[in-house]
Amino acid sequence: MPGQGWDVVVVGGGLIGSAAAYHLARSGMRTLLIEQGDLASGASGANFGNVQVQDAEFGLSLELTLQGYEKFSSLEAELDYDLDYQRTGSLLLIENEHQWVAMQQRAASLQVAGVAAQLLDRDEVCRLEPSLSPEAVIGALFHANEGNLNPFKLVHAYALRGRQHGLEVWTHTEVTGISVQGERVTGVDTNQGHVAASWAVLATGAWARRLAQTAAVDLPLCWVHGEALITEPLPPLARHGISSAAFFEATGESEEQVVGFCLRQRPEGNVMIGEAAYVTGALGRRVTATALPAIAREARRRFPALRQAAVMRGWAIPVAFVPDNRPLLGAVDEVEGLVVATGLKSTIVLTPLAGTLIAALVSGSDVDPRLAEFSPSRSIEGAGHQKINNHRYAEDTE
Amino acid sequence: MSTVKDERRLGPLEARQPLTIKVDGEPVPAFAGESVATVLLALGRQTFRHTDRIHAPRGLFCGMGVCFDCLVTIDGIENVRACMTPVEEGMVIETCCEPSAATGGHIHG
Amino acid sequence: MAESIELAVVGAGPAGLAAAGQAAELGLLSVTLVDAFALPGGQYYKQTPPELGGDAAPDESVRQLLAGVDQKAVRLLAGTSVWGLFPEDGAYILCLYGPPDTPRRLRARTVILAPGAYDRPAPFPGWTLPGVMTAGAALALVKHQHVLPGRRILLSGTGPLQLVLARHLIDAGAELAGVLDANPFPWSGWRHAGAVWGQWERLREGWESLRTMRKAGVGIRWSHRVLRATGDGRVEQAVIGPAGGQDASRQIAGGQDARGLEPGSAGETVPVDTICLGHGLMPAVQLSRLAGCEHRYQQAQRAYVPVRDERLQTTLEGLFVAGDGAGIGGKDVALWEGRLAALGAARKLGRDVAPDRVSAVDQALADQRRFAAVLDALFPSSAHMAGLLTDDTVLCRCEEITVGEIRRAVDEGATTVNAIRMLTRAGMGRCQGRMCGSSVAELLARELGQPLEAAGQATPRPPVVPIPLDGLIDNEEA
Repeated sequence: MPGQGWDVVVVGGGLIGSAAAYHLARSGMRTLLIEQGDLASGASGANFGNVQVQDAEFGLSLELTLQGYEKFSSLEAELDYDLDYQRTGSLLLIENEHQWVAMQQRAASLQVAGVAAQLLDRDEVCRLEPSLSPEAVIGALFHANEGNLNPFKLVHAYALRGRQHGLEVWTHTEVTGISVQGERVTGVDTNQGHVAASWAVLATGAWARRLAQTAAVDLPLCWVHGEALITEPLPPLARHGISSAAFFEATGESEEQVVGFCLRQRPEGNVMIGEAAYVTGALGRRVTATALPAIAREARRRFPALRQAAVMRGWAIPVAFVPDNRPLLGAVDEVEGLVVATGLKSTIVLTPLAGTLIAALVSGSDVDPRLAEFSPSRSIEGAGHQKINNHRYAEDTE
Repeated sequence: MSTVKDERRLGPLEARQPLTIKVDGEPVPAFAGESVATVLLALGRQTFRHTDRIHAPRGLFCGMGVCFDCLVTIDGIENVRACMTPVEEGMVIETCCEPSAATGGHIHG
Repeated sequence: MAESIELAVVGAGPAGLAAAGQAAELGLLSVTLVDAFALPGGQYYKQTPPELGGDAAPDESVRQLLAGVDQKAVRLLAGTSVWGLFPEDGAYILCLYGPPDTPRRLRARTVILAPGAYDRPAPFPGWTLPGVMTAGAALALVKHQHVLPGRRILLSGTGPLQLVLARHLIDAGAELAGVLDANPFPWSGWRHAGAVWGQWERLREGWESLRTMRKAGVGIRWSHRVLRATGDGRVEQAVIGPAGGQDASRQIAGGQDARGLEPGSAGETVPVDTICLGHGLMPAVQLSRLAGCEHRYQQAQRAYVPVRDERLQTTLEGLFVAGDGAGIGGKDVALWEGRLAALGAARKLGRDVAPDRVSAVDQALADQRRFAAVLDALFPSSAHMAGLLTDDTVLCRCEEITVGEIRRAVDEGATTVNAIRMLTRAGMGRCQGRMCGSSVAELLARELGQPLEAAGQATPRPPVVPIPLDGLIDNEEA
């Protein structure tokens, strides 16, 4: 109800928002979760469901990712909800010599950091994945400890259990701004009136940039328009999560649409394939005319058996990223009571951990000082800075 | 060709062009211009497949290609809509299979 | 590089054929007519395959329509699906998939969508049993494939289309176990005499059907419908009962659970091997939704339809919708809307279209719409299916999601069609929500006591019909 005071309003009903709201409610705080559409209707719903370690940045990110990964063995029990969680391992396909060298180095560094990453040659990869075209790969980096789950169910479970601890959830409600008085958050403005709160948590993915601007906070946040597709149920095609080492080659996200290949077969047999992406300032959900054919081309050369597979639907969503490859996770310097949580890489594996961290932050518990590395108020230099500026220009011209 | 006791086809058949096709390994009557669904219904067959999840029998429902219930395997290609596919000479049609153990695809004996 | 044309017409039923013919007549130079079926005509003018010919030739008006689509003036792409429609720089990109050598992309300055409609799914316990099919399916089988769908057939639905089906089935030698109309006898029909005046062909058709039925000893049972179907692996019995108004459970004897009938509740059991459901039609709005034009919920027809101006243009410039795809009006409304849309498209392309030509079409269309409105008023689509559903009734046929699973999701907080979809997978199958979307919305409305619009519309996603992965790729890069 408008006007009622809350301890904390969490804006954004996706993975991070629902996890944070759950932990906040459990910690005893009067918590309201507000979502502009249906829960998980943003990037969380477009997510393939991978619980992965493979793309974590070395350092604090990797450390927290490994910590986060451990939580998954007991998550279904904790939430008392079937999340379709399974550990399948994953294969980072290596497709040229340059990638091979890079993955060799990465494998070595990962092993030092305690991650089970194993370099495989072509024969070994094709034995693990008989449907993979041998012409498309020269090897792969195999991550044994990776899994996947149903992201809709995870968001739903957090919200459901959160409500049982007193969480209130408003969907189809648009937050239009963060209200600030004297450098302190006083609540949020919505299309249903003002909501008073001492804390506001922005877990809105790409939308966080505009929202933060209403509090005169400029976040170093960019996003791509990301697109993927899913096929009809198929006989077993890929047992592992599949992605491409080209991901590590990319100089940064492009304003031209490019495909960073990834694929996963769901338990029911449907195969998800992605991801066509281009940097943009627009916040749109429309599939482009070019994304599906682009993904199709990348898919069929690696998995020829997919050529006659019926594609049932594509989807598109803004996917947030931060140019220095670290999340925005923490309290904002300029305004008291404002927490930002977005740009995680990758999202699901860090979701439970992020939820507990945000609850700790808001409730005033001790937080690892090293988290300052993820401060949403940090400045990003060089190429990253340039990207943000370019990106902002694009947004301004929308 | 076996004599059909319960003739479901309407009108004189002499003017039609008969085709040689097989359904589940057996030769059955078929005529040019008919859909695969028509051939099956003319046999008195209403069940075309079983579903993945609970192995429920399904047959023709919408007859115009939008419901995707009338799926059969034609010349080795699975999940083809029987109502939208005209029969052709030499066609091999398979129905009513046990779903495979793995992810629910169909396998055929 | 997509081929550029002036006008793309999607769907070769009466609306599409009339639109393409009219466009050609106005001298539009590059008109492409795309249709998913091998033979044009859509559902209303479905053609019997020539190899099965020997039955009555298509009627004169159809022959004229088809002749009007002269190959030189209009290019017909048959057996071709339009799976995507994307506004781009003042024109529209259409993504096509058809037989080899069919173009995969078109760039059209104007588009007329004439996608028609499909039978409204009317779920009830046992509706997925083999032998339960739509009235449209049965009519196509008996009339154009010359095969009986079954031997002992029950018709459950509403409106005059059922009579046409009944007549064909009786003439074909089937035994009709009954013809049920869920609506009451149209006592107030006399009030609409003015709208019916001039519809001689229709009235004659109706009269002949009734005569055939009477000769066969088959009458219409008003305010009745099928409540459930039972059988071992196929439909063997139909339980029939009163339909009545908006909520069947109010009229049926015996205490029921508020959410559904108890198994074995009052109703008459009839042995059948086929049930034909004719409970109305749903406009096929998948392409118009994908294009992004505005839609509104039309209460009278209980369906979402594209918002159009009086020239049948949607809220997107250059995009028109004609025929049942914009709201059920029947084949004659479709014909005139097709013509009107073509006049609008021609104007948009800078052609001179005489105002009196437009007003002539307007006038004819108004007459046909008056008649269509009568049918709407007398035979509204059955709104009372929700009261029949038991927890084990399959609502999403493709993914086999039951009413019980959806109710559980509602209990856990899902309130919209999209939320139900995400949580239960209802709507994520091959039919892409066509068979369950409206039912899910109606179930939500009932469970939550909310208006139907509150359930929202399913997010449109290309391809609007499943397409092989290879088929998504533009020709040049194949």
